[in-house]
Amino acid sequence: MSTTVLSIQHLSKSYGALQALSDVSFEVPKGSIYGVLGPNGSGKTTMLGIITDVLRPDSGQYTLLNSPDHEQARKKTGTLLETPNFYPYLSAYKNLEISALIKGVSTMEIDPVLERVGLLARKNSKFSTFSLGMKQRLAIGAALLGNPELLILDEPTNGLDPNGIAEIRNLIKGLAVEGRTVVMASHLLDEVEKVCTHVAIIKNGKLLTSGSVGEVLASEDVIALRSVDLKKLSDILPGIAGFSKLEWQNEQILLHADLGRSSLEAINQYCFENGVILTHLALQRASLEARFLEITH
Amino acid sequence: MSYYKSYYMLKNLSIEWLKLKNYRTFWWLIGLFVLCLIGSNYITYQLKVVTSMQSKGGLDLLLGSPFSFPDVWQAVSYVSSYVLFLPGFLMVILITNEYNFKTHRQNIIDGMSRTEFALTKIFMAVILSILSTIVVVLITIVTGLTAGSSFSLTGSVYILYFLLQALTYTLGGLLLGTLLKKSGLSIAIYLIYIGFIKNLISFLLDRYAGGIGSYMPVKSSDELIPMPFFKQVTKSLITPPDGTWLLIMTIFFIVAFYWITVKRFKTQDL
Repeated sequence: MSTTVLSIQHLSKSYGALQALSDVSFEVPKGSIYGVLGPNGSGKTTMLGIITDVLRPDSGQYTLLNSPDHEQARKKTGTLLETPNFYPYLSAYKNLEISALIKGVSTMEIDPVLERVGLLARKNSKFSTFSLGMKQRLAIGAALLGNPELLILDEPTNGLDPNGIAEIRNLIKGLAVEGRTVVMASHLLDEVEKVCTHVAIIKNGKLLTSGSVGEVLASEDVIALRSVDLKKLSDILPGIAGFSKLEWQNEQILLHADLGRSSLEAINQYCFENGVILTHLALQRASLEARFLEITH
Repeated sequence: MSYYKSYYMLKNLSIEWLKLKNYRTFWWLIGLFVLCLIGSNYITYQLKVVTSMQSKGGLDLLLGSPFSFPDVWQAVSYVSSYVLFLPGFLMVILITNEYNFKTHRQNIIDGMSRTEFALTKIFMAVILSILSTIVVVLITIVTGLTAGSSFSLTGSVYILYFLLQALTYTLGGLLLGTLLKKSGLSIAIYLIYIGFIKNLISFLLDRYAGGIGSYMPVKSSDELIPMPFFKQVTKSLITPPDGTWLLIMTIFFIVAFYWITVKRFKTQDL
């Protein structure tokens, strides 16, 4: 059995002169929380729209849940795309009844799902009377119907208050613990950093990089070093195991090195043995933001 | 249709029912439509009765007896066809609502196929047309019997023509909504076409393109049922369009509306 839940191959899509998506390919492993990161208008929603058959690609293919039957695969996928889409004159319950019927899910599942997103008390209220946050929660509820193996969530914390955002993050982490896969689009860096195991970065419709968060965002370690004689320090640093490069920064030197082949103690000892006494030695994991800016610029 | 497909169609129709059951505008328009069907026939019937009485039967020679069997089939179908813009209007609303609420997206996202979605809406148009036709049959029978004539199936082919006309209006409305997506624009263009442009184009084509005006979309179905009153007079004044061609064109447009709707919904960005 394959461990890939979603495979995207060479997807391209343009709106007139605007190339919204250009030859994007990546694979989502089972059980991962896959963040699709990119600024607004970068093509995230276009990509998710294509894999949910709401948009037609110009070229390229995708496979959902290893199934050749996209409709059946979508029934086992919970999706929140862009905005919550419901009949305003129907109650929360009746809207979910329609979703349940299409998915082939028992209506017995509706109440537990409404409970989970905190809308059970309002189940008979019309959708049009809901606040933005409640609408968003109902959409997440609809996505949870039928215990889907895969969830596709486009900006899931949009319109929610800080409490709601924290709840959704916990919910997403909980889903991953249950073995489900989550694909989540976001323009919020720290959201991705806090929740995701994998990330794909998209800008202007192009996939810049993809892989596990560790691989993409912290491909090397950054160590900040200070000493009285910075010049001498910079001369000896290239001799350290796993050295890749160094940069000057104010009163300190940033050493880029692979700590798998070295360690902070070893660096300290190496400097001491080479006649440099360190006044500061600290590991600075490349911050997500710095890495993101580095990739997207 | 295979068992599998009929199962899905039934399921999708029950989903459609959930959407409509609590939709007030739908019930208001249906109620209004039935009321208009009954009302327009009642008024026309009373007019006939009154003119007959006032002319002491003198006009009957010209008028004929349109509300007695067998002519009543044509008369009621003809009068009722003027209200057919309502079910077409309803179809415009039902499809553009989905675009407005973006619920067509949600239906697809939840796992309905695009073809299923389009076919379900087409099915709704067909059901609406059949229900309208049934109401018209009932009105015909009641009117014919009230007029004191005895029941006869002669001339009931006009009921079939009425059904074709109903299909033209409902499927036409559905197609227009599918093409334009925006409710306001679709409703405006629908009403303007039905009430004005259709006749204008038909008039211009009749005048400058050798009398093909009657075979335009919607117009061809309108003319399937000729005016039942003053038959003797109109017969000598106007050469009626060719009935077979009207039928062929009407069926052609119904199939075209169906085909373009499905094709368009399958290929458009939702």
